[in-house]
Amino acid sequence: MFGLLRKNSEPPQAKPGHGRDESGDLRLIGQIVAGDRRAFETLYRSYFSRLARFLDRMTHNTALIEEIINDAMLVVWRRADTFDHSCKLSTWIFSIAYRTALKAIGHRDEPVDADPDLQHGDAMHEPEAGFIQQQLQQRVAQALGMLPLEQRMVVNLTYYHGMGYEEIAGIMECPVNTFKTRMFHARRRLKTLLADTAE
Amino acid sequence: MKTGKIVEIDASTHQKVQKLLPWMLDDSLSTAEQRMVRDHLLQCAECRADLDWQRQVQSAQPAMQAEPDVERAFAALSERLAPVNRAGSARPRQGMAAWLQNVWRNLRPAPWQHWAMAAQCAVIVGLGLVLLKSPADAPAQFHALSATPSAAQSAAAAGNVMVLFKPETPERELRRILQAHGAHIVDGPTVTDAYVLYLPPAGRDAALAALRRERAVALAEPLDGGAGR
Repeated sequence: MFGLLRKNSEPPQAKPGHGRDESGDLRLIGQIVAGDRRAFETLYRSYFSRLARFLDRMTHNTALIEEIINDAMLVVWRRADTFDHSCKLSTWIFSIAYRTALKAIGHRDEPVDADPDLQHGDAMHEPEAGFIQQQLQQRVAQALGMLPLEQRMVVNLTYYHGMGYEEIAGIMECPVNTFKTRMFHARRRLKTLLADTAE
Repeated sequence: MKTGKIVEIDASTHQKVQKLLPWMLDDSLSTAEQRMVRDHLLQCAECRADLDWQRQVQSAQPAMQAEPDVERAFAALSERLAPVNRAGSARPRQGMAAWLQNVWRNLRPAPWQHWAMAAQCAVIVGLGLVLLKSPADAPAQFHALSATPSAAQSAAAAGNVMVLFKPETPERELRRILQAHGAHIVDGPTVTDAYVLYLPPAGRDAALAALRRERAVALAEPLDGGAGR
């Protein structure tokens, strides 16, 4: 069962989304409104890896991910003056990226298959604990890939980006209660899928 | 000693806690929500097991499969940013008046540019003084073959006005200004981006004053100590 692997698992990875001090980013967005390209580049670089990890659960196409990030950040560059501080800056940027991605992949909602070779990585050369952890990651990746897109992204943002439910509801543009229910069903489905892959 | 007390679990609270559990992982719930969840966890083995399971899923964050590269991606985006006029694209088109406002906004120096211009002025005035003093203080050591230029030619070759254009001034505008005031470039751009111009002596003071009125001209100073101030 899934739980048997727990004692070998590593502590949760740091989740940069949660509790992140946005004051620096807010200063940058002000400079971007004034046309400061260097400030834009700084903001771009600070968001790139987070957006890439977020989008990797929607598509594994590297070129497409870079294109989606660029399209989204181009909107940030052009429309920085429309950010009204009614939500967190990260909510605004992730929301743009999410909508851009939905358009880019045509909302096909295709399962994102986990590539066993990539998931294993250097597992063969690592100690057993690392290998088991990577097996676990592979199973979670496979199970996530089989969830419907919206459930997959809800799980992704909650567990791996450390975002609160209000922020995620803002990104996905749905009522908080709807979103909480979606997460509840996603967990049940994920539990079933992980149990199946363990057999 | 066990009391044998049976704790009844409120089904409504259980449902609420079930929906909030994922955000207990990162303490992103409100204080009241956290209190409710913690109180319930003390009584509900099912929710404790569920939270434990979610921690395992969280700890098994799948590795990324795509390999996006920030340098490559930003280089591609930079090409798309280059032609964008931010001020213009951020606002809806409002005709010629708005366009002129944008042009003025672009030409108007930022606060830091005032300091840069002040420093440039100091350098330019210093260079001007050096140019003025040089012929008197140090006799010419080299003569150009046997040619002896006329007084007018010498004046034209030396230039009599130093001008600093605003950094955003397009070449076309610069050319128009020169032609409008009968000015010729003798030297420049210098290290401070200034130009040494020659203005015909007859109308030099009037031309200098007109140059100073040009929006694209940040500074115009005579080099021969004449009037025009």
